[in-house]
Amino acid sequence: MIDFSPTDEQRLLVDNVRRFVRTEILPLEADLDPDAGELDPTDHQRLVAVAERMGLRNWEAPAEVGGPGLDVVTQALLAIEMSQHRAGLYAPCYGVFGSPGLVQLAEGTEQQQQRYLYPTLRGELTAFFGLSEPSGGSDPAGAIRTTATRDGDDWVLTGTKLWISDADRADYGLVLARTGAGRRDITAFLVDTDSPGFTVRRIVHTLRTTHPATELELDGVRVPDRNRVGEVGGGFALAADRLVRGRIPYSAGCLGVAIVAHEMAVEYAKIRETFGKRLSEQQGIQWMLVDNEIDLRTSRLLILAAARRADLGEDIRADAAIAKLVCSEAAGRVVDRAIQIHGGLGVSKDLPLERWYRELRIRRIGEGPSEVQRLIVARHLLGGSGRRDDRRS
Amino acid sequence: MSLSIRAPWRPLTAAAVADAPAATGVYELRRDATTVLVGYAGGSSRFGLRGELTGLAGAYPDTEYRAEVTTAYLSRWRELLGVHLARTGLLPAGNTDVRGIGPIGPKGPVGP
Repeated sequence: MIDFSPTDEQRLLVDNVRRFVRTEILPLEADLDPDAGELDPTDHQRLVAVAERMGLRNWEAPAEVGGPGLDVVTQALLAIEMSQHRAGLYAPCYGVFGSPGLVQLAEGTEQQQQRYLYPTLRGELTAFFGLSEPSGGSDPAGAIRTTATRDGDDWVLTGTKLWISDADRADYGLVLARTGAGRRDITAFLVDTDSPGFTVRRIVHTLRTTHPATELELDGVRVPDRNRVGEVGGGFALAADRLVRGRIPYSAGCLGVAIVAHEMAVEYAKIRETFGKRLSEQQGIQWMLVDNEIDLRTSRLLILAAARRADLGEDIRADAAIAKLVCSEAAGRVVDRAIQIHGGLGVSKDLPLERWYRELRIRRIGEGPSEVQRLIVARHLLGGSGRRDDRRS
Repeated sequence: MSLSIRAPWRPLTAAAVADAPAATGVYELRRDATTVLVGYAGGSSRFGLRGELTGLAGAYPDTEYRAEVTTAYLSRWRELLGVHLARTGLLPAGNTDVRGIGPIGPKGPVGP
């Protein structure tokens, strides 16, 4: 049996973040619009300074680029805490600990790090990740139609990107484009959003309004070769690595809001009376709460198991996929039961449950839908993807 | 979906906004054919668009409004500001304190 008990250091960090959420975030959030994804700039700056004093600003960044260099288990434990508020699923602590960055740039050239990574970590620049296209996002090797054509010292990018969060306010983005005819001939480029030919066509309005998705057009955007990240043809591996790594904090965020939803349901069941009995005394409600507890415990174990294997340097593609699949679906069930227990109050904007319900529905699709996670696990079990060209490569 | 609000412009008077929807959504105010404010009625707004516009009716004389009901009021608000920024290079006079808005859609004046 693996021992997932936190170390003393992890417990201290978790307690600090938990206290931060309760004493700093929740009071401010009470005065915001129920769908808000941002703090007042003055409050944000003040809390960024607090996060710096806590030593957790850019908490996901490796030590080589100035981050705290936390292991994956610790990051997962903190991600569970940071999401435990109304906006926590898509704006954990409103980004005061730093937004999930483009960690791939830690492996970029010195020039790329100086121009893009460090200003981003300092909060001076914001970035987007440009992978998905109208033709799909779950199978990037097959779906990417955006082309990058070499022209002297530059590359010329042309195509459309879809579901790209926050591109309208970004200074630059990491854009994946096709540089050859093969399925995996994908290359990554750093693209400045003020480049001629770059246009954000629209915001794509969805169930969530925090970090909304956009549609982009790249119409002959010139990018210098020095802005190519990694090797020509190395973009597929880079994107896959980002997606796999991201599934652990993604799962942890789902668990965080589910924990709070469950706590709310337990408390409400203890005080709400119907037909002369408290809800907590009714077996139908008790079973819902038990099912919540099972979902939460299962999720936590899968997250920590995947994180632990990541820290050991093992291949976590299947573990991360299972965690993402189970946690996103389990959290949806937990919040759904919590709403049912709260009755009409549960679907009102007086409580955060309705927001979590909407946003968690997206979690079953974002970063690879449940079906793709199953596909990843099946490949792990059966070997390869079954695609003819994958068997050749 | 149009990038601009497609509802017709109406005078911003107490009488005209009395039948505005009591729902979440976005609105735009203009004076002399210039947009002066883009706002929203959020989840905490009392009586939604009707309440917000009623509150503005006295503060913005000689003004017209148009509104759109949407539950995605925050992202739609951000989009309307981005569209205005792309077309004019500036935010509306009543929104100059808003941060983090980038241009959306074609640049330069196009369409209504």
